[in-house]
Amino acid sequence: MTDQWPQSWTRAAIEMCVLAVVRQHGPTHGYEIAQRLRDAGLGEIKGGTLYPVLGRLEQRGQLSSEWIGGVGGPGRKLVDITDEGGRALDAVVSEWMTWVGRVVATVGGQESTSGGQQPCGQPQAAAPRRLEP
Amino acid sequence: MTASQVEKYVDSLIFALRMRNVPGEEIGQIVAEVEAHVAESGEAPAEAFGKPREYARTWARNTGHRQGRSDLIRSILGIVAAGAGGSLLGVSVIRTATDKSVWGLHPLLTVLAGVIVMAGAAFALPKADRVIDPRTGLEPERINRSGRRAMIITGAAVLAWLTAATVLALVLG
Repeated sequence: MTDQWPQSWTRAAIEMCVLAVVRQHGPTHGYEIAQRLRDAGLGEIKGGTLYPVLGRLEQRGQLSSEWIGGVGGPGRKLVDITDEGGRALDAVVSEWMTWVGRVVATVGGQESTSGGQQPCGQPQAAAPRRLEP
Repeated sequence: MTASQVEKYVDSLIFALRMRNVPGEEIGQIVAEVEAHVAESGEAPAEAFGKPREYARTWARNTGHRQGRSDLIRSILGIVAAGAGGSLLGVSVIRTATDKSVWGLHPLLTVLAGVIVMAGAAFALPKADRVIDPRTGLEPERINRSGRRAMIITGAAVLAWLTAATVLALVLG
């Protein structure tokens, strides 16, 4: 299976993937996040894509950061998830699951999709029906 | 990746971020991240981050920095005042030696007016915030060096110009 995904997919998912990686692994630096995303099969995330995302998340108060060991060397910036970030991640993941469930239902994937059962019964029930002849 | 390659990239990046009015503190962060990342990954900076101009554009868009209207007005006022004050000062210095008056005023008065207008210009211009390296809390040494160089060049130019004006005035007088 390919590991290079359309840029627009990466753009849509990268914030929650970053938050999830940081929550799972604790204080992490940028390069390590990129490696973990690559190892997860999400493709090569370049620094030029990743750091602005980290900056945005930090600006929103969803990540906190701290520089270590930088005097006279390149140092490392460790980022960690904040409570606010954890709440935002939970919220967006539940919505994302709904969305993915509907996409899968619409394109005629597996009959039983795990995502999307919770708040929105109506459109989800409607989608597979439309596909039936 | 070589050290000079990184330095060259960082210099262009700082310039591009400055042009897009990204605050100095943020520039320090962005640059430190680039340095830390390429040190760890071994990539060439342009390979990991793209062209400096494009990376700077991403950041400017990211955090939505624009030069505020008041800063813009101050810039224009400052530049106009600096030009007017400098011209006034130049004309006055020359005429101090040759004429009895400048536009009906004592030449020393117009010299003084020129100095005051120029001082006003320096006051009006928005203060450039400094680039702060988050790892040291200081201004990066490289920027200090280039800043000092710029100051020396400007100082020398002003001095040369004043000397030339005085010599010209004496010769004409």
